[in-house]
Amino acid sequence: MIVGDFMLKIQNLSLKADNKELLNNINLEINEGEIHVLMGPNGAGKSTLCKAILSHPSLEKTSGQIYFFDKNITALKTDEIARLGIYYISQSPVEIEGVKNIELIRSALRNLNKHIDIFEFNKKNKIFCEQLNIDKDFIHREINVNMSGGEKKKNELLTMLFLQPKLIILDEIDSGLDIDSIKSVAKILKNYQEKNNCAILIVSHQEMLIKLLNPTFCHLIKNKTIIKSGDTSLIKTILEKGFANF
Amino acid sequence: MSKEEKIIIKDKNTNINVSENLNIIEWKFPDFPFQCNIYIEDNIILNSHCLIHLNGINGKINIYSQNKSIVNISLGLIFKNENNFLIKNVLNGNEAYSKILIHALEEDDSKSILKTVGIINEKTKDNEFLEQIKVLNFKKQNITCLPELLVYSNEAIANHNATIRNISIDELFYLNSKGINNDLAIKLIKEGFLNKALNK
Repeated sequence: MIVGDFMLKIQNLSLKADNKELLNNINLEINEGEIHVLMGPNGAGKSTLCKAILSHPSLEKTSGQIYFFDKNITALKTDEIARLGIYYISQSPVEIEGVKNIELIRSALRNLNKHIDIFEFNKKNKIFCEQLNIDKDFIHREINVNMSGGEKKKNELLTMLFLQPKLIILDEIDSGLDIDSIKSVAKILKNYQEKNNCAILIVSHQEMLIKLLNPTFCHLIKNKTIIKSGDTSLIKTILEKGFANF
Repeated sequence: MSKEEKIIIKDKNTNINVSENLNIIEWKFPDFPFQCNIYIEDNIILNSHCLIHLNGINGKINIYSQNKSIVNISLGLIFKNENNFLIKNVLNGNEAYSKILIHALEEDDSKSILKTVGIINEKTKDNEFLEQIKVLNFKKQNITCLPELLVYSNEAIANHNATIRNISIDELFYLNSKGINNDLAIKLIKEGFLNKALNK
């Protein structure tokens, strides 16, 4: 067992899917309160790494370990990892017909053994919806069904506010969002992160969201592995010169 | 206003004449082969929005529509064991409207056939028939869906579609990533799928 002051530690992680290597020897460490940005060309493995942390069933880990605080989560199932406090938002959250947000959130809270009575639940919903600038009845809509890109992201953030995760993984959540929506999403994430001292791992190509979230570290992933890590100056270099120079 | 009724079929052959607006709130079927014929008179509305558990059923429901009648049926079907279930809607009159929405799924290891038939007879006109069947399977394709639409009239609007799908890995991953375990995730997806048909 590895014990340290890190929140997430990925050690020599390699994985494959359908007998094809997707990630090779990934090493990454994230501490509480830090914001890390993961950058890289299309197909480099950014989204795969995000999903790998959550143990996506289509991915097969061939070597390496993932620790969350002092727990080895490498072999845990997705729901077990999520219940430890890791929250994942994909660039295109799936639509689930007939299942309402309220059912999802109440089920998730029940699985977390967080019992909230209906009055407290409604009170929280009102506060969160005000923060997100959405109607309080949003919670009664079907999961991501007939929602715009911006609404879907706000929907994910509403669930996040209820679940109170410690680490948030954002996979290109700015794709398909207009400028105002990016600002609004970034503000909510930043407020939550500062208030809860949580960590964020963000995948993005957009300078705007990166600037608004003000990350502490940057990692460049290319050819299935992290080839360079650094501080915000690396982000600046990547944004100026592109990926080809690395 | 519609009269509300439970339809409990006890005989091999049952004939029901609908002469006033009717809302069928529950269906119960026998465990022997049966046929139920429902005749809807002119200008009458038949509604039914129900969840039905089919456990070893072999039966046919035939609905005969007349002039300006309206059939509005939304069913959530849960199949268990072996079933052979048919719903037929025959439009015999003019200016009738039929809408049949079925969401079906299996419980345990069902091997079932769901057949739907829509018939718009010749010499009729201005009828509208809409039918949508959705089947949600698990692991294996255990429910076979056989939709059929026979239009013998040149003056009709008829539309039917049937989709069969499995619970996707992405749906499950999405719910799992919110901390919901697999069993509860599948239960939520099943209930949501059925509720959608019943418009809950």
